Amino acid sequence: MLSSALSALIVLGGAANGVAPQAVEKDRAAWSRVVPSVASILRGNQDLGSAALVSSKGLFLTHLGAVYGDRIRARLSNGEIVEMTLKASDEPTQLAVLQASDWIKTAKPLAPVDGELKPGDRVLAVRSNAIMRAQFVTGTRYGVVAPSQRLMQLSEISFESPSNQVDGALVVTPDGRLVGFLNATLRANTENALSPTAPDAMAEFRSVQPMAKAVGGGGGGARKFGPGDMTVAYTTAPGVLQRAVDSLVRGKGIERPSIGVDVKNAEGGGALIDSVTPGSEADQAGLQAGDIVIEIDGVKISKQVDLAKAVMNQEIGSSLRMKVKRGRWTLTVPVKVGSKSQKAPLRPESAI
Amino acid sequence: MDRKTEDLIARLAFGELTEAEAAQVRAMAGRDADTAKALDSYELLRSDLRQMRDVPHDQLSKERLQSAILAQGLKPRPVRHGFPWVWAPVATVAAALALFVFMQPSNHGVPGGEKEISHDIVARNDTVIPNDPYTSPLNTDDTRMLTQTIERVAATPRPEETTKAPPAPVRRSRTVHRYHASGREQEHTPDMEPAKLALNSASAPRSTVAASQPRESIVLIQTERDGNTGAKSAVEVQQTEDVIVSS
Repeated sequence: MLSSALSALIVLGGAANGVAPQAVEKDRAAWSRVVPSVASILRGNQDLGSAALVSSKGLFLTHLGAVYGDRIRARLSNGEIVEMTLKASDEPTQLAVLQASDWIKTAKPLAPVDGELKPGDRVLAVRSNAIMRAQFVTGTRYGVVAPSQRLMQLSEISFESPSNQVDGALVVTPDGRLVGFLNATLRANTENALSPTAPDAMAEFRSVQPMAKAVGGGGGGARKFGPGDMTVAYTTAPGVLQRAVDSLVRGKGIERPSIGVDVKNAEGGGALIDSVTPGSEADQAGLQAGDIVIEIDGVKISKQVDLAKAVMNQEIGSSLRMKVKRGRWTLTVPVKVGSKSQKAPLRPESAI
Repeated sequence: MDRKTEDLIARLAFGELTEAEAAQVRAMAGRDADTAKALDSYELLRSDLRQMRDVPHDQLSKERLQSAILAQGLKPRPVRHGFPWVWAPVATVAAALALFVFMQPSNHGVPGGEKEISHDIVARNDTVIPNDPYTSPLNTDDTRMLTQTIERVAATPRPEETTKAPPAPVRRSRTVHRYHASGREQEHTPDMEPAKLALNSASAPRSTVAASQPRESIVLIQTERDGNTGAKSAVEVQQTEDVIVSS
């Protein structure tokens, strides 16, 4: 695997392609540091994705898309085939932790980045034998993940449009810190970030220095790309990744603050409660579908995302004072913050 | 539910719609759970008001007046004891005039004779006494005789107020609606079907931008896969979209 990865780097870099030799060497060195801590998830001979060592006890973090059962096979960087057992998973982040039956004992566990990435920082995205140079754009995007509909903080990265599948690609920094796994890619049509209809994303993209073209093209010097050549992708934000790893390596699901409501934007402002989960904290507090939340602990709530952000930043077990409009009444309701974890359903196990 | 619809609901609950209008609004309530719930709330409010013994003047309603009149009938005019002070200036002038006339020497040769003085009959006060609405000479032929101010009420929250049900006390609200005797408020067409975003729809997401807010987008990560990358497909939408978020 190491040789194939180096081959990929040769394809990736090279002075003949207009990339400075130092840059190629840096990427090679970065990948060399990371390789012993990375395993490839296999099903038959098919490579489903990468798993990163996150614990000295042989725990690997991977993307849920690569996990097809409670017990799966993986190939270490030295070519050894090992068995991995699913320990814990989380549906909104699409992360899972596996216990390896064996691993390279000298390999260093990859630690998640801790918010030190800046827009424009270079990162590497690894999937099977393909290594892509990518750019970190921002760690403060917010996304709603189907089907759970949970609000989650995301990191956005961009890279040259790949010629192969990148789902679940492992993203690391050049110094071997874990950024996450690619969860989603922005749909390439006129409604997306690469179009004038999303000027904030476009502005962010343009504020980041474009990468040099690394593959093909010839000629000297770095080339610049337009939006049409790039793919925008999302991983979990650094803070979310850290909390996810901390919970999953302990074999626990990720407990998130929750009050048990589904909300959407209300006409005229506020978060309109679309439904209340029976037995939830919101239900016990007396909240009803149709209520409009306009304030939480003195902070104005103007849209549904404001409410979701307010709840997700709470400590489990704390209490919120929610100002709610119900018809022509305005109520102040204390709501306790509960917790919710979502273990991901697995695909049916297939023959190893 | 928008304000126009809620206005209609309130007027229906307080009996201020025609039969046709009422039927239309009831049909609307039958189709929409939110509307039906609001109608129940207003009807409960009206019922509560009916049970209140002392209705504040600013919450007077035609409904209540009619009910009271039907139940109690028109009360006899009360006997006024005491001096009607509003007529004090007139009385003063009349007294002064009488004194002046009386002090004049008689030109009719009738010592101390009575002089016929035209006695203007001072009309009794037939107008409504504000604090006694039941004595109002209500002309029941006028459907909207009184200029009414119906206040939308909202419970003003006390700092420690917590409840699991709508609060009972009716207090002054910030919104005032005026129903004039000569007409009615503007006709409203309720917005029956707020647009919703189908999260997994392949169609382009609708974009509505709040004019007073800067544009902010959120990412919707869908379950369907992007054929080019194999990863889940994501779209960016404005935060004002009708996206349901679970919390």
